Amino acid sequence: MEREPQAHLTKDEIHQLLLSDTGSKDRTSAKQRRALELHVSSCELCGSLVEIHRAELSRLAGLTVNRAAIRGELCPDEDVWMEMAASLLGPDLASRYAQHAVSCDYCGQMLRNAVRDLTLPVSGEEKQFFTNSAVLQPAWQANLLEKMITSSGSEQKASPGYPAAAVRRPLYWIGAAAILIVAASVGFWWNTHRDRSPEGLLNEAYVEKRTLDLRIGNTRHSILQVRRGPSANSSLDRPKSLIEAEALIVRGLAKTPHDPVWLEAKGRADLLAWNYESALHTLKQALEVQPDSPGFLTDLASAYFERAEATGRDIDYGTAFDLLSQALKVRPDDPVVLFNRAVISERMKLFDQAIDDWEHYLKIDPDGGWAKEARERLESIRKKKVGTNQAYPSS
Amino acid sequence: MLFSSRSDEELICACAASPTGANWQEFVKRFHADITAAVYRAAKRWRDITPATLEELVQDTYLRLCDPEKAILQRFVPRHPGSGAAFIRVIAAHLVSDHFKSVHTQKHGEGLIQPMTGEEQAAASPSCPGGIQTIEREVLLGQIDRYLQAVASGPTFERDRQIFWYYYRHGMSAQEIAQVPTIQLTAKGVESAIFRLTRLVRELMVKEHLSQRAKLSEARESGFQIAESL
Repeated sequence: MEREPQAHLTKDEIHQLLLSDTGSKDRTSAKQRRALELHVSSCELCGSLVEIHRAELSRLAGLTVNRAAIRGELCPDEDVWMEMAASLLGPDLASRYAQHAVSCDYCGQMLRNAVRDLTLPVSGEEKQFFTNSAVLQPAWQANLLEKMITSSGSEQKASPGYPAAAVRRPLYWIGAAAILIVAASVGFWWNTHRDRSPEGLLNEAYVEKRTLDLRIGNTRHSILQVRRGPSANSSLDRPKSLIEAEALIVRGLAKTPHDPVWLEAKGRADLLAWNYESALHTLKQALEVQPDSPGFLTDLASAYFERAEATGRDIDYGTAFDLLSQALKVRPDDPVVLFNRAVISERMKLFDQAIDDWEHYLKIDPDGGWAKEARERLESIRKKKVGTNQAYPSS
Repeated sequence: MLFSSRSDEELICACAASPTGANWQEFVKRFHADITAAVYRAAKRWRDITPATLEELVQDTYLRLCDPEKAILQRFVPRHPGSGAAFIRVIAAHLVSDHFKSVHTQKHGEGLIQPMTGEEQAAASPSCPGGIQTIEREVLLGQIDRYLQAVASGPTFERDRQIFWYYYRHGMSAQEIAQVPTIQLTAKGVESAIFRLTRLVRELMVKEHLSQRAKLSEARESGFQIAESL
């Protein structure tokens, strides 16, 4: 149907006109567009209205460029954007980072760059560059492969000389010392503490010498004595109860190697000793047996946390956060999970999340030593957040 | 099992558990293009590179990936098909980024080190963060965000808001936005969301523009009346 030439433009007609401005595919035919333009040129009111629409559209388009993007205090580590673009983050974390990226010029650019790097096909220019280098040549790749085989120890494993090499490593002696200590302790324990469970011993070890910000199991409160890392991982520093527990666990696992109870105990003993790689391995095994167990998820999260603390690998905080979020879906009011997620959120600079978790925690557990620590941590985050907002009002 | 019948994810797990020559050979064959491209692009964000630098960085990346003490591949958790290649590309990019951070730290000491963003690479002339343009932009961003809250609601609000800002604020294309895992739409779906939201927001902007204009002429009118009565 032909439009009345004198009729003012409707909202739809203005929209059609603007769409054809941008060359977008729309259903407006050339004839319809001419009719619309004819009216605009002869009607001052519609002409002015279309100009306003165009001006506002151009204001929107002008929002993109921001050369002064500066990394803010609340911005997460730059590495997360690649992981997010590659779908390697859990949904909760990805969603939090997405919300941040939306309102942060710096991180938005980082995310955009990451998406481009990961998804754009190799360009002609890049292909040309690779061809000019040796990386695509079979001889170069063969040489690389040889170095990888040597470096990864594939050959050493097959070599009969390997045990001798192992003896030269300090870890071998530390391991041997640990075994001797454990063996001696087993005898002593067997005569004096027969009725003590590994869980009890592990709890005692945690309370006796707390080396981790996170809570492990439902123990009574203990003051954080020293934050440890693998460098401080001497068996001589371990509490006696931990050594006793380890001996029990070795025996238990020898009888039933896939029993989740023993696996969890071993995982916790590893956590107390800061053997996070071993804890990761064991707790993943336990989770295979009971995939939704909040206890295993929490302990596995603690293992990732330890690794992040020891190696500075921030992505492990993210994994730990996701695991705890998973555990909270099963047990939304679990005080240990809430406590641990609050600590990890603070490390990740997710201050609002940390505040939410601490407040939630204090509703569940308002009294006692853990509550006191929770209040102190909450207070400190609030101060930190105020300080950050004052320093970076725009971020 | 035949190497070729293993998925990327299975191959990574196999290399982590059993780093044999045959596994590494398949690893290089399977991921060489991914690693080379990831290394090149990550390095380009820091500085222009030569073919020799690329060779050095690619080799260094492989050697770190297979270093038993670093145990990088052991950290891989298969999340979905395709997560293997994605993991390798991400790790390669991180290793290059770590390399340049460490080089810069050695040269200039500790401090805030950042890769160049696309805009900085295009025009290394930063405008003043507190300048009038920046402030005006901040005001406009806030205003438009309020419009978005008025026009987009319901369960898709957060997703729609992200799409809109990724497009207008960060300059991402519909295709790129569709790659962001929180969006979960095809490029076509993203495009149609952009059209719908742009129209709704633009109409509110025009409404505000007209209302401001009316207020202004009203103020002028009353100004004239006051002047005439004097």
